[in-house]
Amino acid sequence: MPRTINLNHITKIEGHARLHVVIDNGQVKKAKLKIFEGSRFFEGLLKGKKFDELPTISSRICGVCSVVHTIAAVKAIETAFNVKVSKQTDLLRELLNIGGTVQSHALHLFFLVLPDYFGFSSAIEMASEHKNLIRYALALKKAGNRIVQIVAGRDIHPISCVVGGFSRIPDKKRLKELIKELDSVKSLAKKSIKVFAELDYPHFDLITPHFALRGKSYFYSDDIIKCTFEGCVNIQDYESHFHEHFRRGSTAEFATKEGKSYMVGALPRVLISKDQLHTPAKYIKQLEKNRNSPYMNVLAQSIEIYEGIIRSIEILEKLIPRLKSESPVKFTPVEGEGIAAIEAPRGILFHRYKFNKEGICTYANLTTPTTQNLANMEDSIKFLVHELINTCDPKKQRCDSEIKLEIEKLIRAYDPCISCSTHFLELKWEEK
Amino acid sequence: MVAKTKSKKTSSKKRKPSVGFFAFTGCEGCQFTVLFIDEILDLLNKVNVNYFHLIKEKNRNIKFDLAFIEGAITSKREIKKLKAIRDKSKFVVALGACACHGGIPAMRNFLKDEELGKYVYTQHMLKDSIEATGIDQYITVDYHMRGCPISKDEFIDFFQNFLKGKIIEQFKGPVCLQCPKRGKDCYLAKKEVCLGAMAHGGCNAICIQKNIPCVLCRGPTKSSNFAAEVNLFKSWGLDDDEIKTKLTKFKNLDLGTKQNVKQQTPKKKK
Repeated sequence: MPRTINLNHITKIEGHARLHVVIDNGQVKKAKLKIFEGSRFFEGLLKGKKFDELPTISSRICGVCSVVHTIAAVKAIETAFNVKVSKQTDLLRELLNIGGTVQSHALHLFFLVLPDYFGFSSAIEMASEHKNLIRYALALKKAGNRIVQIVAGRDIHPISCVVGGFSRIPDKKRLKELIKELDSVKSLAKKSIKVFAELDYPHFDLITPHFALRGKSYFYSDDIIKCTFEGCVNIQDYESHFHEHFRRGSTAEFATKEGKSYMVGALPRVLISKDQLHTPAKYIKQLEKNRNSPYMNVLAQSIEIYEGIIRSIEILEKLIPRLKSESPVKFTPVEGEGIAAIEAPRGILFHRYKFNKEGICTYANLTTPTTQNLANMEDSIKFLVHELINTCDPKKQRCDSEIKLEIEKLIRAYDPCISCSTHFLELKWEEK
Repeated sequence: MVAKTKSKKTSSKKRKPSVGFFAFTGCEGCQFTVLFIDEILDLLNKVNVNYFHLIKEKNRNIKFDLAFIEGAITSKREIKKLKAIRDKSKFVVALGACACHGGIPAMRNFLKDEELGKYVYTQHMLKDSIEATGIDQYITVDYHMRGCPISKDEFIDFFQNFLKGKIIEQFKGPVCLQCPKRGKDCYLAKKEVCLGAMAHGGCNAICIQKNIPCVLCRGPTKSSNFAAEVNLFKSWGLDDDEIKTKLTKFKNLDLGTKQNVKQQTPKKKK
């Protein structure tokens, strides 16, 4: 008789999702993620709105990715209107994006992932026994938050990042304080890589294509999309390579590349742009050796926290001596189209808009990292369950709960952001 | 924010209060704002966090002394869940703009029916879907923690006082009262749309500090005069759609314009 495993409301991930697995005759027949977050119609909300409303609205797609949604919206609008921003704006935005990545990674790693490996229900219970680890967690989380607060006004839903630049340039004094603060957590960030390198990860080996943006800057490149074992994709052509589709009964969309699943996120980024990093070689080697294990995404995120802090200090040292109190660049809306691609904490994020000559949005398509990872997550779950059912005796009651925990650990390694994947309403629409 | 407090009995027992964090439809940004508080674990250690799906594996659906509810209500299933939480909770806080008055998710109420039909993926979901509203459309709310997102300081202040058996008094008056540009560099004087005169204050005019006019994320005060604002913006040459977007981004409002907002009741779908 077929056996089913149901995870009815997966905890410790952003948003609401359930999983349904069917096993028949020792074979995994089905592993389907179902997203039951309320429908959110985001692209429908953006259509018909004036360009200046878009960053504010898209930021609300997701609380933990609000920084990168704001930057992506702003950049796509600037491309459409041919707005060229200053070098200072670019550096501030890169810094802001790093802040968003560090805060998101720190929360994910220490609050959502680590309790699983130490046998706790949550970080709250873990705090009394693992004071040192929690000290790392809070310090790194604070560092990420401080960057976002100082550059854009508050921890989430950034205020001052607008089309053309920044509505208010951060105070020099506060930027100087920020350098000191980041300097003080640098060694701690390096030590925390060791914590994640030494976790007892399950063995996992399923060949997966990895995609990431590649360019001059690790955290802020939008030159090309690079794959670990295929060629490159031009950003302008992303829609013809990556296809999104809806799943019946799910409010989220799933994306595939030429019908196959792929992975985006910290692991693909580190694998593709390792030459730009400062992390001790042994950790990079560990990642490369286990490149086909999505669990390594956790280690890659801890590497990115450290790299993010190093790069932020570099940016601040460059910025502070030459900081100008400039206003956003002036511009007039023109009819046109703009695409922005940016590395969000969870992988490549695309925003694509079209505008009429009044600057009203006539088309919007947003492709989020989780949308891109969902199909791969299902493939990985199938693979994992297949491995586990052969090593675990189904007659024992503990078997199911063990399998469930292992599946949850795997899902959490991807760091899915369900709010982001449910922003969507329909594959595509266009209004002339 | 200085805590002006008024006494209210919440719990005189010595046990730690039972606290739950619940989320409906939204970006979960208010829960993240809570988690981004630097001393969050110290705060949460003073209570028993029995339900916090975002960060806890084992969640207990028991009685709560304090329930924080985030997100807008967008389906019939959510109404049922919401009412069940209320029944089990002594004190309910609406956490953020979505829970207080629908927030950004409520913008979808303006999508025309035929358009909405296009975007809903199965008949079942179409049947279950209702207009997005705040939670007080269906249950009694004891405290509205406003903003998109909420203010960290207000959360800390509220939480610490709640533990002492006190409920903090909310800021009275509009955003203008805390505005740094008040009286010298007002946006309205420059014919730029700023909604601070209508919005619930208490945010320290955080957006205006960054040179961004108020977007009404904390919702309008009872004394707001929408008709006057709409007329003012129209006299500057703004069209109805633009005005509507600006005023209703975070809450459904009847603006008295030709595209009136529908009543906030669950609507039957074909």
